[in-house]
Amino acid sequence: MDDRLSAFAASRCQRRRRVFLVRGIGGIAHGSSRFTQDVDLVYRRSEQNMARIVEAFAPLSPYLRGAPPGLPFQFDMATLQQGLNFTLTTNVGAIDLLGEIPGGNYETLISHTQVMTIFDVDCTCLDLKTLIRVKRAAGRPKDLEAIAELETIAAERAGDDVWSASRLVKI
Amino acid sequence: MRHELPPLTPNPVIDAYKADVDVTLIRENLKLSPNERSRQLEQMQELHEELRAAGAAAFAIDRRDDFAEE
Repeated sequence: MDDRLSAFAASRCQRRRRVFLVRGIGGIAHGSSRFTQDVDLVYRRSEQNMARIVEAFAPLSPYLRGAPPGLPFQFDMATLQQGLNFTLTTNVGAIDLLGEIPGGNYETLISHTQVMTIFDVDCTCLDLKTLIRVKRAAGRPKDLEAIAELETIAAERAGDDVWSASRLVKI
Repeated sequence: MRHELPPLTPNPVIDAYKADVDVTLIRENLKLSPNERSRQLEQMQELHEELRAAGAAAFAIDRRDDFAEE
């Protein structure tokens, strides 16, 4: 991962930044062995926070990922207010900026986060059980392996088979 | 106020995938701190980029060979 991308993501996810990490890097922080190349951030859609985000992203030259070049796209307050989820390419790497994900938004998920030191910075990340919930809620076939791995991590951490297949099937 | 999320229920499809999870990798990762895991990801990314560049260079050499006059 580009050092600048990790540094940027980490700085955005510090406490009081009103942004937290989900999905790939969140899973890696919890022990996933899966590889990821992008950063997924859930952000608070308050006016003050969106203004901070616009300011923070400005030096990164954000542009819509996969869109043809030359579109009159400007990552400013108006764009952020009129949209919700943005899949962006930046000059430090791919960043998904998410106002809402399957399973919730900033307000409903923030109480299910924890602070972890990653990329040498204290970052706010979804806790493991909630990460599993939101991945399940997304219902994407490509996530099935990742969810199975995260549930196995939970079982390994718990030191018992609460999360194992046999136990879950019995519930 | 803590927003309660729905409970996790058994999912036989996910359970089926668990048979193929490499627990040895997970156990090694769990010995590391989250910070060490994030640094490991960066190292993997660097390796990935080096391999991709090497692959592209090798492909270019192969292509030159294909078009070289005998």
